Amino acid sequence: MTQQREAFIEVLFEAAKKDPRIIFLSADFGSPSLDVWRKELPAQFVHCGISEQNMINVAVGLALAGKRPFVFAMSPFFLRAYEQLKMAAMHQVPITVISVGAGLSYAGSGPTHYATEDIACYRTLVGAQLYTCSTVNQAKLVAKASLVTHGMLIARLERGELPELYPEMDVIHGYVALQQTNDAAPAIACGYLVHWLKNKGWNVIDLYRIKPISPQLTAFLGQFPYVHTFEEQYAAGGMGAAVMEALADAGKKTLVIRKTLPDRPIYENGTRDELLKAAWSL
Amino acid sequence: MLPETLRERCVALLTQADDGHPGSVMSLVDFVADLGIKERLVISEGHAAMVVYPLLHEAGILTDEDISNFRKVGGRLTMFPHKGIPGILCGCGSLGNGIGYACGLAMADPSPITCIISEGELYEGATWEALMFARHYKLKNLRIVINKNDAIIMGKPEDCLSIPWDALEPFDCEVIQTVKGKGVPAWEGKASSHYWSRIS
Repeated sequence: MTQQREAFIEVLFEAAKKDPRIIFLSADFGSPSLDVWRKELPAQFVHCGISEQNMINVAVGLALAGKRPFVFAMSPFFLRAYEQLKMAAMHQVPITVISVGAGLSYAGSGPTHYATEDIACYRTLVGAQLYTCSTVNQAKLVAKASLVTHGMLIARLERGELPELYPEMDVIHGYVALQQTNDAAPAIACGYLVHWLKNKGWNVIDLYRIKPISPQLTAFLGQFPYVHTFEEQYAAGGMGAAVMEALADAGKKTLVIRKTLPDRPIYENGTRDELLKAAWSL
Repeated sequence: MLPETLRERCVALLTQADDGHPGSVMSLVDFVADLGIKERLVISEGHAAMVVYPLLHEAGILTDEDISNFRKVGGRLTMFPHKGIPGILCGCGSLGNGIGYACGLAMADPSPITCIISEGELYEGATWEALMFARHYKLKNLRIVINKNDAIIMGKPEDCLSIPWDALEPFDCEVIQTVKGKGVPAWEGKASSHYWSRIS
């Protein structure tokens, strides 16, 4: 197994060898594949220091001058640059945000290190596409999309290694339906929780693209009287809210039963599953 | 363009709109008139960046119609310039960001670029992040100019939260002493001219 960030960067690296417009910026966040990049393509790597705000701004400047910047940092710390992200999106230039540590990826580190409200923030960025990857092959798919994006693309990646669920993916549909043993109402999730639900026997929909939500998905979900959503986000504006809005906007009556984080800080010790158990009183 | 001409045209634009940030605009007139627009320019203090419109107009980049429709419904020219306006590289208005844009623009393209920031932007952490960045990467094509007009919205910086000017010593930037609202008695030297007031 490999980490999603390694796979993502390797896709970019292969393209960057042939395309000098591709510039990788890091806020002092690394990976083994990035070490290779720094060694072999130093002119296409920019260390920005632990300065997320400036990293985004520099990326805007690079993009305005015709480059294709990719900014890389831990998920929770992108939010301190939210206004810079907002204005980066307003400039309508191709910038890819590679955000590592979705949800409770950094279990045990506490709220400073959790990305538990970023979906709500990212959803509001004008024109941005928002992805969360559950597997390496999905990360590769999103990486390929990021190479041709015209505007902002945000890729929320899991920190750790997770089992592969898919063959190599070439076309973005925005979701994958993982039908299991019954025809029960599906549970919609993204990233780590796709595995968590699958292992519990749910019919899972891996909603890897939260913005925009595919109209095919709302049509499919519209057939059910109710669906479930599970997310490592606070309720306001999160993935479940995105599903509710998409269904309502499409005129569907499907009820959305949301499982979100409780409206309190997550200070408990424990593994990711233990945190979820505590949060949801399972 | 002569500073007097630019000053008159900025006053005309502000008066036409009956709104704006005259103190900051007028404080930049002398410097920008002298600098011109032959090279790339980012005015990070977006509330003053309309000072370039008359120059872009004179250069034929903006039309007569653009100028007459400044800030009017259907017109292209806004109070805070943005990249959709011909001749404008990037949109500024939230303080402390233009200097980072300028760093990226300087890094991607070796041609000269000037970035003007206000002293008020020295309160933004992002400004210092960008100063460190420009220094480390030796962005020699980037000229950073700090517009020191001794005024922030609520008064003089030293009466509000003093600026450690000595801290700029390691950075390659120029501080220009300017006068808030220069050339218009109703505005000159007054912190209140950050906001719009009619001349008469």
